[in-house]
Amino acid sequence: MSEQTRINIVQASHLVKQVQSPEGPLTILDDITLNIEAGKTVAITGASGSGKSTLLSILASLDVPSSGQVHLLGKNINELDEDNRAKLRAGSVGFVFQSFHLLPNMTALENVLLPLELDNDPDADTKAKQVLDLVGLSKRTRHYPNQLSGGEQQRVAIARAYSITPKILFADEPTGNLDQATGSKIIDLLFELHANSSTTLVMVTHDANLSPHCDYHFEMSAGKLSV
Amino acid sequence: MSKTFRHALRNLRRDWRSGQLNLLGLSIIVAVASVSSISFFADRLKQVFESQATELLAADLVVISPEPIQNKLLKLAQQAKLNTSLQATFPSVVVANNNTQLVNIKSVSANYPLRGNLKISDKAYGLGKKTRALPKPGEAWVESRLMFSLKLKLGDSIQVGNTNLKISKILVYEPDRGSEFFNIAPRLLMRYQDLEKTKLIRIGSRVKYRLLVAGSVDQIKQYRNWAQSKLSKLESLQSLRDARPEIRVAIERGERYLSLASLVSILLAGVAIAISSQQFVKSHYDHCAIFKCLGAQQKTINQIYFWQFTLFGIAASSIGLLFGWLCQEGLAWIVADFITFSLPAPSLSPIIYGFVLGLGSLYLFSFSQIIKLKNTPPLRVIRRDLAPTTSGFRSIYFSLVVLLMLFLFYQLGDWAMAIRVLIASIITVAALALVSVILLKIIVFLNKKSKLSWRYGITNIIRRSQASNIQIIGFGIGLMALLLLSIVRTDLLTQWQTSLPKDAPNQFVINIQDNQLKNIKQFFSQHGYRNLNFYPMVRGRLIEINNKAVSPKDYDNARAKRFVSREFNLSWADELQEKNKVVEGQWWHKSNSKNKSLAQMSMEINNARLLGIKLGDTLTYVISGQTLSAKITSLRKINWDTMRPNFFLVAKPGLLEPYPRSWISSFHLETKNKDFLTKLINKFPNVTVIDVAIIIGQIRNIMDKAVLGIEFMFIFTLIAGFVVLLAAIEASQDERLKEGALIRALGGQRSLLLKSYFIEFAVIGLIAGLLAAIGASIAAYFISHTIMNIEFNLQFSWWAYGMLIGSIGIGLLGLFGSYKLIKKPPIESLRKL
Repeated sequence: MSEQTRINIVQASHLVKQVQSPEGPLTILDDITLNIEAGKTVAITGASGSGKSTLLSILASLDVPSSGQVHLLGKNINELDEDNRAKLRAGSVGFVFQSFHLLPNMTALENVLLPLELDNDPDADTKAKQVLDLVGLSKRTRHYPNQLSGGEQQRVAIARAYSITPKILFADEPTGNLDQATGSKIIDLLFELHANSSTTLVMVTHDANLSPHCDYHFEMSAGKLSV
Repeated sequence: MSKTFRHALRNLRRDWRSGQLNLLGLSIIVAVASVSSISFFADRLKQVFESQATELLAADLVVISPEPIQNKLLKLAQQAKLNTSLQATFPSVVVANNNTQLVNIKSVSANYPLRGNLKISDKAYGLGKKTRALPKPGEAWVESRLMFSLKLKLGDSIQVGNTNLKISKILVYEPDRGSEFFNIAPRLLMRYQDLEKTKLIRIGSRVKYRLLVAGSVDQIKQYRNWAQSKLSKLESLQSLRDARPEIRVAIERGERYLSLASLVSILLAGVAIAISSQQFVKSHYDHCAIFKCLGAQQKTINQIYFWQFTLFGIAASSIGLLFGWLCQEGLAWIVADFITFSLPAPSLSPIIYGFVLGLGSLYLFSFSQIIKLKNTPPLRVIRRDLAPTTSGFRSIYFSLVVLLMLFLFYQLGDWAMAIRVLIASIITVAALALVSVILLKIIVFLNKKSKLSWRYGITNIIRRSQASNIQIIGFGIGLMALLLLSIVRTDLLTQWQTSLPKDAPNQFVINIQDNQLKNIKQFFSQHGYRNLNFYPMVRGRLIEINNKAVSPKDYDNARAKRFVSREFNLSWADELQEKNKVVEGQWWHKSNSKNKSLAQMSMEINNARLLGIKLGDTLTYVISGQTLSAKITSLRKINWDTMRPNFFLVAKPGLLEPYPRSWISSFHLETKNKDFLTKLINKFPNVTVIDVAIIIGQIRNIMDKAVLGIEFMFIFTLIAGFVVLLAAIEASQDERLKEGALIRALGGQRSLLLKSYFIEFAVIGLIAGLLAAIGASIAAYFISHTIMNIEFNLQFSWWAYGMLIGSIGIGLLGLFGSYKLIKKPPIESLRKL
C-alpha cells in the first residue's frame, strides 16, 4: 500500500448531533471521533436508534453536525454550503440505501445513467450498460423498478453507485429490506466490486456477521462509538 | 445544447412516459384550446375585412343614400373617367308557385362589381365559377336557399312586384356581400333597369341606393374631395377606411364576450395546473434528493425543471392549439349559414397568444411549487419525512388573481374596467363559496346519523374542503351558464310566445301607399279582416337636439349611433296607442290650454334616455330634404308584446301630414289562409308582408346558433372542472389509497369504497347543481323582467335538472377518476404505510 492511499478520506472529530424533541434537546451523536482510511472497508454496526444512520449521513455530507468537524475528501464540510457539499459529492461519492431509492419512472438503465448524465459523461450509455452487466443485470436494463425483485433493485442501486467509480461509497443497511440469502449475495457483490476498485466502502448495518469481512468495525450504542 | 437542457429533455420524456404529466398537460390543453378556438375564429374574420377589403365594397368609393343618388355625383364621376355602377338594395316579398318569401333584392347597373367578381352556378349549392356577366334584363339570379324555399328550378319565373323575372343562374358569391356580414333573407340579383317595372320603390320603402366608383388612387382622392362638399344631408361616402372599423369593432366585441365566457375555463384550468404541479412536485422530492446526493446543485435542479416545464408547456400548448383549431372549425360550421364569405387561414397572432397563455399559466401556477424542489434536503434519502414546505392553496389564490387581472386587461384593454370586473368576479366567487360552505354544513349536519359509506364520502369533502369548494364553484359556474342558456333558449322564448294573445297579429304589411289605402282597406274587409288599424309612417333622420347638431360620434352606444345615422319611421296619432303609457309630460289631447302648439312629439322613454333626450327638448329632423323641429311634450313606455306597430316617435296630427308617407298595418293570419298573402301580393305587388312567425323562427335560429357557440365555450368550463376533479383525486391519491387499503384490510368491501366515492362526488355535484339552479333562476328572473318583459315563472324542473345532472354527472365522473384507487390490492398500499 502506497503512502498516498493511507490518507484519511473521512476525518471526523468530536461530532455531536442534537435535535429538538418535546422533552428538550435529544443527543443522537455524542462526541464521536473517527478516521476512515482511503480504500478500506468499514462496518458501523449497532441496534436500531443507536444513531448509526445519522452518523453516516453526516460523514457523507448529507447533513451537518451540531458541533465537531468533518473532513470529507479533504474538505471541511462545516465550511461548505449545501451546493458546495453537493459539488463535493458529484462524481466522488456513491450511495446505496436500505430502500434502494430507485426512481420509479425510470428503467434500470436510466437509473444507472442518472449520475453519469448529471456529470455529463459522454460515454454514459456504455458505462451504465457495463456496470449493469457487472452486477448481472444485463438482461434487465429496460425493466422498471416495480418489475424487479428486491435483490435486483438493490443490484441496480449498486450499479448506479459504482457507475461513476466513486472514491467512497456509503451503504445504509444495504440488506435491510432483503431476505438472508439475497442479502448475502448483495454483500458479496459489494465486496467484489470493492476488490476490483479502489473505492472506500463505509457500511452501516445491524448485521454483526458482516463485521469480520471489513477492514475496520465500529460499534454504535446510544450515540457513542466504540472500536 | 447545455447539460441541464439535455437532462431536462430526458426527464421530460421519462415523466411523460410514466403518466405523471398527463393531468398537467390536460389542464394546459383545455386552457389553450378554449381561448385559441375563439381567437383563431376572430382572427380569420378580421382577416376577411383586412385582406379582402377592396372587394368588400366592390368598388373604391361608394356614395350611399336612402334616396336616389344625385345625378350630378354620377355625372362628375363619369366625366372624371371613373368606372361607375348604380345599385339599389331593399327587402321585398316575392311570389312563386303560390308561395311567398321575403328576399333581399339587389338591382345593379352595368359594370357591377367594379372590384372583385360574382360567382354563379347552374345548380343549387354548386361551387360556382367567376363571371363578369350580369343577369340579362328580365332575368334574376338568386341564392340557393330561395330555390329551395320556393321550390324553384332554373328557367322558372318569379314575381317581383309588378313584374316577372326568369331565374337564369344560381348566385354563389357577390364581393360586397361581406359588408352586410349576417344576412337573414336570401339574395335576388336583378338589373337596375328592371327596377322601375317592379313598382316596388314607393314612399317608405327601405331602399339603400349606392353609386359605386372605381379608379386610380389620385382620381378617387380628387373625386372624394369634390363629392364631399356636394353630398345631400342623406348621402354619405364610404371607402375602405370607413367600412372596416365598425365591423372590426363588432368582431372584437364578439371575441371579447366569448373570451370572457372562456375565462372560467382558464381559471379552472389554472387551478388544475396548480394542483397537478403540487402533485408533480411531491412525487419529485425523491428525484431531487437523489439528484442532490449524486452531486446536483440547487441551480442545476432549478434549470432542469425550468427547461423541462418550458418544453412541456410548449408541447401541451401546441396540442391545445391543435384542438383550438379544430374547435374553431366547429364554430365556423355553426355560423356557416350566416356568413357570406369564405374564411382565410389564420395568422400567427392566435398561435403566439396560445403559447403565451399556455406557458404563462404554467409558469404562474407551477413555478411557485417547482422552485421549492431545489430545497429538498438530500437527507430525505435516509429520512423520508423530510420535504420542503409547500404554500398550499394560498399561492393558488394569488396566482388566480394575477392571471384573472392580466387576462381581463388583455381582453378589455382598460385597467379600470379590468379592476371592476375583477372585483365583481371576486364578489361572485365569494358569494358562491359562501353558499357552498353553508350547503356543505347543512349536509354534514344531516349526515351525522347516516350509513358508513355516506359518512366516509361526506367526510372526504370536508377534509379536502378547499379543493372541494373549488370544484363546486367551477362546476357550479359551468352548469349555471349551460342551464341559463337552455332556459332562455327554450323556456323563456316559448313562454314569451305563448304569452301573446292567440289572435295577436302575426303579419305586418308595410309600404302601403296613400293612394292604395282605400283599396287595401276594402280588400282586407272583403276577406274578413275588419277594423284593422293603419298607421302612417314618415321617414326622417334626427339631426339636431336643442338646435345642436348630433352625429354618431357623440354616442358610445351602438344603438344610439344607429339612431342618429339612419332614417327612422315617425308616425302621428290623435289617441295614445293601446298599451302605451305616458310616464312623463302629457299627451296632446289632454294638454291644458297653455300648449296648443302643433310642433309636439312624444318619444319612447328608453330611446330618449339612450340619446340623452329629456322632456321639453326640441328635436330637428330632416324629412325628404326638409327640416322640421318639434318639442318633446311627453315620454311613453311601450309594451311591445301587442305585436301591433309601435313608434319611437309619434307627432301631433297635422305636423307630419305635409310629408310623403306610407302606411303600415298588422293582422292575424290563420295558417289555413296562407293563400290570402299570395292574393294580397298579386293585387298590391309593391306591398311587403313580413311574417312574424318566420322572423321569430329566424331570430330563434340565429339565437340557437349563438347559444350553441356560447355553450361550446362552457363545455370547456365543464371539461376544465373535470380536470380539476381528476387533479384533486390525484392529489389525494396516496391518502385515499392508504385509507382504502386499511378499510379493506379491516373487512370493508370494494363496494363500500365505490359507494363512498360516488357519494362524495355526487354531493359535490349536487351542491354545484343547486348553485347553478339558484344562479340561473336569478339571472332568468332579470332577463324575463328587464329584457323580455314577461312574467317570471320559477320552474321546479330547472332545479331538478341542475341537481340531477350535477349529482349524477359529477358523481360518475368522480367514480371514473377514482376507480383505479380500488383496483390495486390493499397489500400494495399497506406496504407503503
